[in-house]
Amino acid sequence: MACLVALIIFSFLGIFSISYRKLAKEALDCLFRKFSLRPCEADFQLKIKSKVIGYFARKNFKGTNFIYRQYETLVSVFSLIFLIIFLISGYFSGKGLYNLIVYGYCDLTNPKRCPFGQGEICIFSDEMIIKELNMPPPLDASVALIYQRLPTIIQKRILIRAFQELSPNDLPQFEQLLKEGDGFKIQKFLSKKIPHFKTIIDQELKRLKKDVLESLDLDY
Amino acid sequence: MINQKFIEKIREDFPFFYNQVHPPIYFDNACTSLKPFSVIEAQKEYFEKFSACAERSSHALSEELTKRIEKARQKIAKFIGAKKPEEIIFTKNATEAINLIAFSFNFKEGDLVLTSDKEHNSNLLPWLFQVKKRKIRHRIIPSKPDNTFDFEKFEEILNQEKNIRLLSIVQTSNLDGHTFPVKEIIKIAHQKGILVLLDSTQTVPHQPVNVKDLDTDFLVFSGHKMLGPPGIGVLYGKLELLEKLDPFLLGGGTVSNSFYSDYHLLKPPQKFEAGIQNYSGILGLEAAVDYLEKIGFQKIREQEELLNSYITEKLLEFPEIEIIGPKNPKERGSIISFIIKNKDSQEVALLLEEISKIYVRAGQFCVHSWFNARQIKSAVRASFYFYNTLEEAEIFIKTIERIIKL
Repeated sequence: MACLVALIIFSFLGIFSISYRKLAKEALDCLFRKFSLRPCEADFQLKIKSKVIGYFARKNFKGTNFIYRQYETLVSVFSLIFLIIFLISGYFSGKGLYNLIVYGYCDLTNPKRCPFGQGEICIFSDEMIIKELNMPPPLDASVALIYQRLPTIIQKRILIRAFQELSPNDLPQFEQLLKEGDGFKIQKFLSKKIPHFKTIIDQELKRLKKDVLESLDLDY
Repeated sequence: MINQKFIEKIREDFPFFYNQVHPPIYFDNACTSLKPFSVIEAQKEYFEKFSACAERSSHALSEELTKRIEKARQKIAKFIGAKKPEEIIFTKNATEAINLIAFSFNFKEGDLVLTSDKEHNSNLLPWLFQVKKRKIRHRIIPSKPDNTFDFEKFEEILNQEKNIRLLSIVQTSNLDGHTFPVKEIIKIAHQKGILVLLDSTQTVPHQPVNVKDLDTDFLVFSGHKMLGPPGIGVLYGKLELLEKLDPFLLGGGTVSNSFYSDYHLLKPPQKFEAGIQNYSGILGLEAAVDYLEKIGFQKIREQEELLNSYITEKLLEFPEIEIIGPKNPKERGSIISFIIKNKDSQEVALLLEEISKIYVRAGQFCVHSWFNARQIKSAVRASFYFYNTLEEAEIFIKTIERIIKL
């Protein structure tokens, strides 16, 4: 695991210095050897150890002797921490990738970062709505146009429901949030003030699906 | 004691020191030395002024280069006390020179070659190869426990063995810096009719060597350890022996004439110098010899002894340190090899570099056989030259102390 830590650190430092790039390459080679169940080059491990110890020794750091003596343990601890961080970030990356594939680009919590459909309170993208509602693919331009409007429609419907559900005391704050246009804050506010906010979303999605499918049946 | 200001002045002749505000401490001179400006200039001169073929074409440039190369040959012959410049053969390095002898010597099956037990691979592997290839025999002369030459064992072998044709022995060991008393060794060998080849690669850069005085039959050294460029080495051989020796390589420049079925070899040294030679290297080596003569071996020796004595004295204060070879620094020239108990030598070398930018060598220094026989994994070797300072030696000691305390 020491080579994984070394790879991460030296890859970062390698952005600034060529000497670290060489070490990063060695670390990658070491990691590759580990994965292929071969021992890592002893020279590389020693090199890293001396770099670390040398750094502290040059600074006359009082804990240098401790670091030298407990080097293997410290490396194991750091490696474990890095491994945990690696796994956690891997999990979130995977989740993000899954969401990207399933729901498209729109970030439900932060509309300002939405690459598409900016300017409105983006809660749903059209791609997401189509997937979420299991809608048939649009067969012509007019249907596609309807699909494009679905996020706006669903948002408006949810907002209307929210107005109905909120107490009069909460309305001024809600209106203020709408003016600011921060989707994340709005969602947080509504989730806090309306305990069954998620149910409202589910209900509105179902209702929208029904309406759209009915209108499509009529058209087709 | 040598004036340290003189050393500071000398350092200005070396780009390594000249170009850096805080140059690293170079203690790896047994591997290769630093190069002064004069050597670099001499090499440059070839490329700029004499970039031609020597001893072939008749134009002015070629003639000028031929003169320069022969002048360099004379200079080097004089430098090691050879009788004639023809006894100097330019090779790629000492390794090639030893291989030349190993491959060209008229061995017969069962002939015996003796070496010491602390030969560089360059003076061991060529003989082991001949054992396999030409069915010769090879025997080691064991050293005393302090790595000095064991005359008793040597005489014992000489009395036991027959058909001993060659004693190929290191003059100054790159393992511990100890110089064997080769003059006496050669005398004994000659009494038994044995020819002697000296590997003087670690001797020629540090002390005067006189082949006539030593009466050695062959002697080899490399240019790069004595301020010269890499890629140039020398084989000295007594002319009468070289004349009898077959060439190792054949080709352009080695013959006076050739036919579809035969050829006429030139005399030494030409018959051994096949193909276009490393002219810039030869001129660089000549400049290195000039530089060494200008400094003088007395001063070189004094400075090396000063550094080695200081470092030895200080290192011996640490019970964790074990010095390889004789304890007396005067018997170890410019080298100190040591082991720190419970420390990996490679790690020590890396820490020396990381903490104080000190460059040393760690490992088995191409003398694997010696380490393997003693089951020693590796050692650290610090090797000095006249341009190293006492201040550098002090930093070295302080850093070693720091490493021991880790």
